[in-house]
Amino acid sequence: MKTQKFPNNQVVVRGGESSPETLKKACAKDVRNKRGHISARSILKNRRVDFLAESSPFPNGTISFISVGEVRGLINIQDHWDVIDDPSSSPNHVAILCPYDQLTDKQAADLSENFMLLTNYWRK
Amino acid sequence: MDKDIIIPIDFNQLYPETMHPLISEEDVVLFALTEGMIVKVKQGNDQWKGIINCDSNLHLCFVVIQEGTYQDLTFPEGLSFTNKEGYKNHIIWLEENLMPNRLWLFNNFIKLAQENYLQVTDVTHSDRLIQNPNSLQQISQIIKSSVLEILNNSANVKPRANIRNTLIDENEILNSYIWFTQATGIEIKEIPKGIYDLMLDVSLYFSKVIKYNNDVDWIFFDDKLWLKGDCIQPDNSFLVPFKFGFVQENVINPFGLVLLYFLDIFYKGEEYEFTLEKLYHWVIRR
Repeated sequence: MKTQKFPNNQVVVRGGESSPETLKKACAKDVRNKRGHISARSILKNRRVDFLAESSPFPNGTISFISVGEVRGLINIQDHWDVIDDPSSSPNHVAILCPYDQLTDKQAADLSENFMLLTNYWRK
Repeated sequence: MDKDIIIPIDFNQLYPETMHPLISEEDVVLFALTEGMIVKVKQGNDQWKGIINCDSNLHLCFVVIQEGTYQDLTFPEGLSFTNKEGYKNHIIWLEENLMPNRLWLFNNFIKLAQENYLQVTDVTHSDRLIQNPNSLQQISQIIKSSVLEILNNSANVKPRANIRNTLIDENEILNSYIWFTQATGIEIKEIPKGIYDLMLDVSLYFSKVIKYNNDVDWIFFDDKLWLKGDCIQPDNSFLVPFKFGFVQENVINPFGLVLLYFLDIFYKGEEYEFTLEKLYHWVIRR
């Protein structure tokens, strides 16, 4: 796995709504080294949502986005969050690295609250 | 296909090197899925049909989505412009459900443009979606930039407008593409599907600004939705909307007018003449 450090203003996009329930499920579904990985897409140093949505299209009617800095901003004394390169699945694939293998209701709600939901006007 | 079974999927979890969403092992067992089975799948507000495929080496099953089956669940099943019994309920649904939900997302889009998360330049931070006619000037600027960006990045896009003489057979609205074709009688070929979503959201905001600032009401006739009010007095020097039937005495078809606004951008690009603000003042007598 690459260890590329993403800048804080880089955008991270997921297809569909990133509700707390969805994020909890996604985190628990992909556990590596005792930490959950939530699938998303992002391009190094890119902060334009439209560029990402066109380069790496989602078929969903809505997309949700968050910045790398907002994910890292969830950090507190116990939790350590990050966004890491994870190119194994599909182009521009990244993972939101969860603190543990499961998210609590509060952790999922805090993460979800930072996502902004948009209509996917870039759908082909 | 069992029409009652809708399998949850997540387009963020894909079969490697493809755009095909994975199906969880639990769902394969729960729904007794086998290779080649045609299924209905859903993520959030979206629904598709697809075919189950499995990779025995990786022990993964995934769905190959079939084209042309997308349904936006923003539109409830059975929604039709030709159901006379349901006209009143249709207008209530439009105002209380469709408009607030979609305009909340549209407001997020405008906010992103103002915060430089979109390729839109020289955007000021005033007059966001405040239902004031002045806000239409800035919305026009953002829409134009976004549409040109989307079209420029879509290979071989040459939009064609065809006038449809008949409504779509099933008379059922599944998504914004069908909505626009039904509401205007015009079908635009070869534009990305998301542009129809943008046209719908712009129409809803344009209608809301007219309704908020004037004494107008939604009405149904000729199987279409119109805005009606004495203040609606379009300038008859602009013949195109009359030609297409989007304007009649004291009534306008806001979806048709916004379609003309988009057609102007498609065909004239940077040279386009309409803005939504101009369109508003062309329609409303002062």
